[in-house]
Amino acid sequence: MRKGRGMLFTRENILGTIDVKTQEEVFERLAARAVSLGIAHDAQAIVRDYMEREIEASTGFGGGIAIPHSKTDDVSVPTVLFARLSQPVEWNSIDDKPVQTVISILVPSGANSEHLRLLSSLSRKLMHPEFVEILNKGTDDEVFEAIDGVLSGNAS
Amino acid sequence: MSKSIVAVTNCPAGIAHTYMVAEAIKTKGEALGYEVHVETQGANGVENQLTKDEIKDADYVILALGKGMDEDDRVRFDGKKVIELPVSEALKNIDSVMGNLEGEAKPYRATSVDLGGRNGTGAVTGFMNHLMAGVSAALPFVIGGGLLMAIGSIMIQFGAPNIEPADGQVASIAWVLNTIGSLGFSFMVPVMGAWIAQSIGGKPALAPAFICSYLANSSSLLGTQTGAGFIGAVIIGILVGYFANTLRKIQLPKNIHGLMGFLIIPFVSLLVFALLTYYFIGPIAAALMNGLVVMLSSIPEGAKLAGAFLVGAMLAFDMGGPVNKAAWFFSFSLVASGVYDWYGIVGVVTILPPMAAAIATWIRPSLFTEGERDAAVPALIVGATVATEPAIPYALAAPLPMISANVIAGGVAGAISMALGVQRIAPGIGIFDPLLGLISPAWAYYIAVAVGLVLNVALIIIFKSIWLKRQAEKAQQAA
Repeated sequence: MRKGRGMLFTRENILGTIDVKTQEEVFERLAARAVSLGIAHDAQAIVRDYMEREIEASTGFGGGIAIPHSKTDDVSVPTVLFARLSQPVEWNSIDDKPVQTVISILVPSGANSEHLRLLSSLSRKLMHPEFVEILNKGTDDEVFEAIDGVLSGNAS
Repeated sequence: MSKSIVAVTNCPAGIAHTYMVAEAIKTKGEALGYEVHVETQGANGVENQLTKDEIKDADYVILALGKGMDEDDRVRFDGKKVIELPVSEALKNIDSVMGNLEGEAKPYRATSVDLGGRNGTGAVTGFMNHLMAGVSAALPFVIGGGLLMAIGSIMIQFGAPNIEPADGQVASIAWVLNTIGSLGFSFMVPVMGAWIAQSIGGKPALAPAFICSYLANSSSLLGTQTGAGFIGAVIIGILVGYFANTLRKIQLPKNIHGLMGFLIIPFVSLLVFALLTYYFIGPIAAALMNGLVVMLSSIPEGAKLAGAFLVGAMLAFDMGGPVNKAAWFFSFSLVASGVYDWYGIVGVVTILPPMAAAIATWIRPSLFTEGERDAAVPALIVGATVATEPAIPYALAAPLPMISANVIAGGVAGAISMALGVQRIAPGIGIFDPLLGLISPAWAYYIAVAVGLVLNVALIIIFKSIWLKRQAEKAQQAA
């Protein structure tokens, strides 16, 4: 991340449109990216963390977007990942609609409170239609600007 | 002045939903013209903690919870109009909930159910929490059922017919009330097991524990002499809860992992524990329960009174702490097996400490601080009807004399209660229970309470006078 505060969100964290058919494949792709970015070693463990969270309650919060997330010691720094899905994937969402956009948060336990605060403002932003609109329809650049803006603490 | 809302949100990970729902409540509420304060209990700890004034001024309290809220935290919303819902539900139905706050809200009373005094010192451990989750779910079944039965029995006592439905016979209303009331008693055991399991292992553990606890309590299905009652429900609730937690850790092949929560855990737990319950747990727990009931009914009178003294003393000892809970749990668990005199002791003893403390402040005001005297009226009223807690401040101010007095008086009142055969079938509103038919015989109950109270007040005055004198002497020596 530009501000160099040890939290990870770079253009590399945007996976673009990934070709997947199931929720599990989504998790595998996200986890693989976390490993290739060097913030995690065990992709399998991350997939499992996502799954466990998903069993408690779906992270699909309606409108075709989901926020799979986990508090996990399998990552070294707080990380945000973003992907669009090549086709709608069943997610057991609260509005029963399949998911085509995924914004994911991975947080190690003991993350510093400034990071947690920024991540919480990202979660809050998801309740604002204009922000979600960018995530759903924007170009990769627009998405990057939007998320990075929130995580840099510059958001309105 | 605009109306205002306070809310608390939390979720298991404390990363996403806590904040999403907080934001949704805030935006939506402000759009509707409310002043909104939202406390988030997330991975970053408690943020925007609600102040006393914010809570006091709030017209509504919204609790959107993904990991529950314990009593100690909840107490601050006593007397407010509270809307409580799961955090996922809040996200889904925020518009309809916010649009109909008055309709969704329920007045919340912090100590609505008398558990023989709730924990005031945070001493209840995690394990006890699971048990109490089961108890608090099961209690309304006996309260509702017990009151229906009480009404039915009173009607019969006053000459109403008690007629079962049969060919050409319509059941009488007294019979209907009695029978439906007794359903409450038969459901409380499986509900208890189910909620213990859910408290430990989450929702997937609920159904298997419910079914198995029901099975364990059905002597006709098991072919045993008695049902396993609460012992069965506790054992099964705990085992199923932890079993579900273990299952959840298993790595399943892809694509079927999503079935874990609603298919695999309930099914596998049920299969395993239904068989275990039928062949082992049920008969063993039933034998234990039977043994306990037989032992309690066959022990010599002297030993029974000693036991009653012990239970009474334990109930009075820590006013809702672990010792009280243990004695309470023992007494209450016998209710499911039709043994009511130990629970009668609870009815007598749990109202004594706060009432005695309040009365003592009027007889000997000089022994108490101004704050203690001011609190006497509410302590007496709450103590006599709802909970033992109001005794706690008096005990904390002078632990040795107050607790000694409470314990001795509690023990004696417990023994008297047992000797006179006081029976309590369900918790109600304390000192008025005999009038509701929940405690009988009424005369015996009031004798036990009266003797206990006189003794308790006398001991408080004696012990505290001595104690205060010693404190004064010590202070002099030090000076």
